[in-house]
Amino acid sequence: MSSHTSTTGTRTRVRPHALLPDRHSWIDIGFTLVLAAVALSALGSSFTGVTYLVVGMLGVVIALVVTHLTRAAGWPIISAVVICVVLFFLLGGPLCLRSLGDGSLLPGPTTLARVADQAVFGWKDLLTTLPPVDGQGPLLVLPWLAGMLAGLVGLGLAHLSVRRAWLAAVLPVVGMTLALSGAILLGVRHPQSLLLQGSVFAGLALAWLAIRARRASAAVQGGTTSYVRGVGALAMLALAAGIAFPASAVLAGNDEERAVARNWVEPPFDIGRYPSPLAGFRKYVNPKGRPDRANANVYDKTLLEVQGDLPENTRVRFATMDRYDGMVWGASDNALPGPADDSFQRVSSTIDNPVADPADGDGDPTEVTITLGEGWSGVWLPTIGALQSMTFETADARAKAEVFRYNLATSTAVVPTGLQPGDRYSFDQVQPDDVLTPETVGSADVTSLPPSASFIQGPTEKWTEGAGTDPMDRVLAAAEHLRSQGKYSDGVGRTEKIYVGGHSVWRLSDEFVNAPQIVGNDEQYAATMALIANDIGVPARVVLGAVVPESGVVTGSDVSAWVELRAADGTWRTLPTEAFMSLTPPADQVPETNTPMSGTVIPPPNPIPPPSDAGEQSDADLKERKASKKKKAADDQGLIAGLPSWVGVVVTYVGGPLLLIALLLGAVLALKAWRRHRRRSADSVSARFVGAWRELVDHARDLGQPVPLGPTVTRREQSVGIVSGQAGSLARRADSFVFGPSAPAEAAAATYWESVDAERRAMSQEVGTWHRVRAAVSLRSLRPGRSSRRDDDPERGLDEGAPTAEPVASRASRLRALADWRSRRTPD
Amino acid sequence: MTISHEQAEWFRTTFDQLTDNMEKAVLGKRHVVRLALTCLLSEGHVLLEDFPGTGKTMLARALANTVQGSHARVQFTPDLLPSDVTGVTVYDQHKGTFEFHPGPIFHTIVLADEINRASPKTQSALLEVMEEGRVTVDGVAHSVGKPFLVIATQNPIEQAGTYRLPEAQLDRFLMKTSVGYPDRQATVELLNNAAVRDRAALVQPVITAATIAQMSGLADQVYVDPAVIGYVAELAEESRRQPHVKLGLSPRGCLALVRVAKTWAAADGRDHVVPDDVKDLAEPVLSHRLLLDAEAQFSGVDVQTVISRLLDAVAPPTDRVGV
Repeated sequence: MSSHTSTTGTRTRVRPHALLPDRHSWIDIGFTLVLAAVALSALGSSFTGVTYLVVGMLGVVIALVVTHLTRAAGWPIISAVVICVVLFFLLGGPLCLRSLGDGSLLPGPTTLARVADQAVFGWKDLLTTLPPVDGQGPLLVLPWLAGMLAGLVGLGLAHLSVRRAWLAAVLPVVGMTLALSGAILLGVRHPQSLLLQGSVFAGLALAWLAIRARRASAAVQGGTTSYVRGVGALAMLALAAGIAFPASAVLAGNDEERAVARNWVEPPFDIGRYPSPLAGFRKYVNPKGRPDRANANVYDKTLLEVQGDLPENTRVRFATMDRYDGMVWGASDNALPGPADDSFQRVSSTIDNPVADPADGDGDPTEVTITLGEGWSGVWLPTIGALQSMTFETADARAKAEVFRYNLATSTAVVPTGLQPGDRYSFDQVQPDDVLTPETVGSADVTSLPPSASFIQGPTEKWTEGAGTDPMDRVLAAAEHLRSQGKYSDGVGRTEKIYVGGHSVWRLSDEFVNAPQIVGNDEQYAATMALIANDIGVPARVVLGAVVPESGVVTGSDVSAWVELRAADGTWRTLPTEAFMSLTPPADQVPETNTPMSGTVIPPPNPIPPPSDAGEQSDADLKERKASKKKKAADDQGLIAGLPSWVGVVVTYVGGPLLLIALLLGAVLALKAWRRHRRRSADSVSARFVGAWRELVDHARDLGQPVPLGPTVTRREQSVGIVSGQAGSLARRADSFVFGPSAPAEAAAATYWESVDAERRAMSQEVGTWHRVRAAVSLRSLRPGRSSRRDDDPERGLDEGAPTAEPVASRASRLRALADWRSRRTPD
Repeated sequence: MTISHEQAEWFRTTFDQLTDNMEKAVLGKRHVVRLALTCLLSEGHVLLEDFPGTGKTMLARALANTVQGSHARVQFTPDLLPSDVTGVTVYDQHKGTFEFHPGPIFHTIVLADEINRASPKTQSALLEVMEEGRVTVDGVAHSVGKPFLVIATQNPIEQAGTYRLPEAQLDRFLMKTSVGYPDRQATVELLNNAAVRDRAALVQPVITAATIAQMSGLADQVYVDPAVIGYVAELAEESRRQPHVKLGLSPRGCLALVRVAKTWAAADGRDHVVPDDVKDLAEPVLSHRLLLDAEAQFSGVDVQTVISRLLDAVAPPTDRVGV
């Protein structure tokens, strides 16, 4: 403690160091820190782990320290901003880019550039990445930046000098609310604990608001009447509610209405989200009179009409599936090993296609026009050969062109917004050389069979015995085995229903290659053949498509699935369906499931049911399905059925916090009632007097009266701080009963309690209703009291050597208290 | 036997009358007046330490005047002899016997002005009479009677040519307090009546010595709960543990504190002592009984600071003992 004497001789005290925060600053720093933590936690569903929170909170702390120190030093706020920017870049690398190897404490230009890049464009990466993102990755720059901004804005606004008291109170809270809104916008549509987070944030924000309002009011006006403060508080609550209600409808709405930035930022294209078209192969088979409940069968419907100068037996490709996950063959974004143009990318109207380039002598481009028929739906766009250009000729051609994606490696095209019958488009294409000849040499690229497909190894070994060592020869031998030994069935006939659809591990293993009789259709044969080729070492993929008839009209009956094998020259050669699939129907008998072949590892069947044969789905289909689910869920909510939707929102997001608050307030009231009961029914009669007096003191504390507290404070000293006409007399009576010569009687204790209760009521009537309600739920009296003397002189004892005026002040205060005590003393 | 409510109320009324009477002379110092009266009724002596001109002598004279009894003022000087205070035995030639001539100490209220200017030998002459109420001269004890109150004053700033009172002497004083400067209102009133040369003369006797003795007897009967007794004992123990305290509260100091607390309680119309009485009187009773070490002076810690810390360190009782 340091002290100095002014010219008037008055001894004053100053803080030990001007850079240390005072009490008000500590409160502002504390609230900013906690509110920022709550706001940052909104990113919890976007990042894995808690590193994001650690980094974010570090940013908050640094920003708080910088902001406070610059203010304490008398520097302008812009200096804090500059320092924070410098620290952001200096520490950004070591904190956020360690995964990229930029962990040096002295960041180089590359690191600084990466930090800047992530700060500017990282938000889009975050929003366009399927959450949660890597919690150790470079996107940590975002919470790092958000934390610094929150700390800077929160404390900066708290220190801002504003003439209007209410504005000074509201500004920092608004700043932190904006921080929370930003975090929510960067979050996900389905956060983990929205309700809890919102409740905690709202509670803390209101508490901070109340503290700052009280402080600002006292600072500006030297304290106002309870009426003015009450009106001010109500105005602030009304303002907060006015902002929060419409904001909550947007930020905390239901899944459809909830506003997050992801809704407006186009996510990265993920081909894996679309069901495999091969899994829906049965909609192309002859139903043979079987009722089509889903109305999905397109066997006899026109799928598309091809126009163009095409050679005979030209194949139109619906989709290429190059990855088997144990469930289905599906399209992937990484078709080829190593870096290659093998993902679904946006393309312009002309396509520089390396698969077949006319400039390289791969042939002249041919213009083809396709009109989709009534049987076509989904996202997959039928194409022929290697595209050189694409032109949509529909009304929404431009929209389709914007979303159109093409995979150069698999020659597969998609329109994520979906296609409808009647859609027409033209393209130039070059037909690459895809004919498989006996001289074709298989690619030496290393192929990896997924673990779930290891069941194929046994049959492959068996079926390729004697086929030599050449991979392509072994592939063809296996194909021949399948064609010669297998039977064909679409599982439609009465006796063929046992041949179910799908090409999961279970279907291909137990019910196909390891079954007594190999029975299936294009789906099972092509899927198995591709697995066998990959097992042998020849990269293979499954293609769903059709051979274009002479008429150019492709119906469901024309659809087939074939296999493409990668040749040593990098081209893909077609292994036609006829090469590995038998067309002989099975015998009219029920086959028995056999035990797996020895040496074959059979994984357990996947519990996931096979995909619906409803076919591939577009975004519109997915949304429609989602909407129908939500509608069903809404219908199930009988309680709020028929009420406006906002009622549900209010009940869900406002009712919860209100209920929580009501429970908390109820708990406070119950606790006080229990305390009162315990005091009133104490075993000792004198303890009842003591308890009654404490009840009065606690009531005064709840009313906000400055009652001296602490173990060394007597009842008389406390009565001086109680604004009550009878407090002195009651203290005197309590002392008289407690310390008097005769033991107090129970009746006297009851009478004393009645007097205390009456005085409590009188004290409550002296204040307004709002003040009374606030006192009833106040937590002040539930907190342990501190010594009033120490409160008066918090630095007492820090420096015993410094001469102080404390004894004189103590004496004076005691004498004043005594004089006051005597003036209010009334005869008992 | 415990004082009754009626007796306590009578005590309070009488005490207030005395206070009001004395306030005619000592303006705005009701608390100090009450302390002095408490000392008188507790059969103790009071030491007033204050700057010149603050009304120490006025207070002493007003107190002497308010009681129907004799009073004397002794101006202590370095050449004052013990016999000048206690009295002397002289030979009466006419009677042919030695005759005792009582000194100024043989009065109801004795004002020992600037007591620290007398030599230690003379100061020590007061020891017996203050403690036992009698003077022994030439082997003959002479009682000073009751009530008997010594009001000593000393000046804290003029230390040259003074003799600091020894601890044993200080312990004989029940209280040590200061009058202090009057507040503005009292000062204005004082100045308005500047023509009154001797304000003490305004104080007329309102109580007899017998009544004083009766009140002292009643004060002794005030009940002190064991919890309060324990509080005093705890204060004494804590005073010996306090830093910078060389000599803590003695048992005589504890007795003094309880004694004055009883009178203080009766003056408030109570038949029992409360912890507030102890806290109110802690400073005047303890301030001259605590001896601080040399380091305290260098640290700027005075005895008032120590007492304040002492009261902050010991929690007063809130309930009876044994409940």
